[in-house]
Amino acid sequence: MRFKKRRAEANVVTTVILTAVVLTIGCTIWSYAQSATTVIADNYVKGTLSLIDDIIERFTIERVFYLSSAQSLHVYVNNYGSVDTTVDLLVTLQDGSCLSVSGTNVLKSQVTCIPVSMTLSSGTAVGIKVHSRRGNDVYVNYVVP
Amino acid sequence: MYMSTMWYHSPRRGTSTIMGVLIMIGILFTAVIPMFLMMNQADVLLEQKKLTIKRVDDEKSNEQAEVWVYPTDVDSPESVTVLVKNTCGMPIHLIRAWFNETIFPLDTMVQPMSNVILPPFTVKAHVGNYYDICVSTERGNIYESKTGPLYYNIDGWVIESFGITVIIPFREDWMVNKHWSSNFEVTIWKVEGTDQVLVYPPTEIIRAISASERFLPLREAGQYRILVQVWVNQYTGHPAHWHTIWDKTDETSLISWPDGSSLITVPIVTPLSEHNHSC
Repeated sequence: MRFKKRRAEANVVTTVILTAVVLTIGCTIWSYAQSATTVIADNYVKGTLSLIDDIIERFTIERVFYLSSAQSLHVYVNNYGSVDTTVDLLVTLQDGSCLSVSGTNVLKSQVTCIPVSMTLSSGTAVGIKVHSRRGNDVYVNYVVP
Repeated sequence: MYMSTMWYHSPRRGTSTIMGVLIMIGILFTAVIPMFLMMNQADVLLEQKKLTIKRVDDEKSNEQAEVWVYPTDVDSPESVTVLVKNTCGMPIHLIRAWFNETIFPLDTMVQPMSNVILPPFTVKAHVGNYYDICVSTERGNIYESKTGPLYYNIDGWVIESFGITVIIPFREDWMVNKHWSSNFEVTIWKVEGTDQVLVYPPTEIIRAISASERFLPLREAGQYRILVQVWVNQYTGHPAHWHTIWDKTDETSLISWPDGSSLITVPIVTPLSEHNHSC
């Protein structure tokens, strides 16, 4: 009879310990799982939103002028999309040489002039490329009148 | 013995198992499922944006307009008029007009298949300068003037000449039979509502052996009444007289420049019935 009572106590203690262990490990796993899934979901959403920005980015080279008096090529970039963008401008001459202007911010629904100092004669053709930091490109050819 | 041991231990072992299962279910409902829901929502948003941008791109490519630029007054360097014709099925929002490198902000809607004349733009043109004019839309399209760059020289704006060309056909046997002479006359009136202003009094055209052509320059666009007559020589029972072979004031006599022809061509091709009836 005495032996049975002790045995019962041991079982209760074992159960309590086992339950505590299960709770501790469970809570740890729960906490870790929540953190991990939160991080995964956040990264996924951020990646998707970034991808959306890449997809919906829209800009165009609206006008190009060469001012011979100022020896400057003015490239007007129109951001007609719904996100601001940062662009790099690359002007390629007929002889293969290039000039670039980096990191011009073009706000959404606005047109921005990017001036490039260069000397061009009448009839010269140049290739103009505007590359956004999101990886979209727009090209235009311009012949100096 | 084994059965009794199992019977003895199973109720207590179940507590941890149940708790473990509950924890797993908790993890599933509070971490994994929200994660998938969030990811799924992001995917839905991506698809929505893809559809939206596809629609925007389609609208941009389907947008069509014509821009006609002409001097408000041919002799005045002060201003030019811009006519925008929406030739597509969507409204077009004009946001900018370019005069060379000068930007004029706009906020004008052009309804489908309709025209809008923008308020006259003050340009103060200088002699010897070209004015390249175009209009930008909210969808990112840019439309250049159909009339090309405007040029202002010492005589004023350089634009297309307006005129009427009358083409007299070569002599045919039936004309000889009807005693048609080689003398034709062209009279031109400008039609202004119900009034007619004489622009060219009867002007003689002598037909050469082959066909003849005469260009009659005009000052301005508008609708004209063009009367072409031929002199019929006297013959048995018929006195000499002017016989009308063209007298029209319909759409064929309209100079609708700049958004149309600057030239009216009048080909005097007489119908077959003309060959038979008496002059």
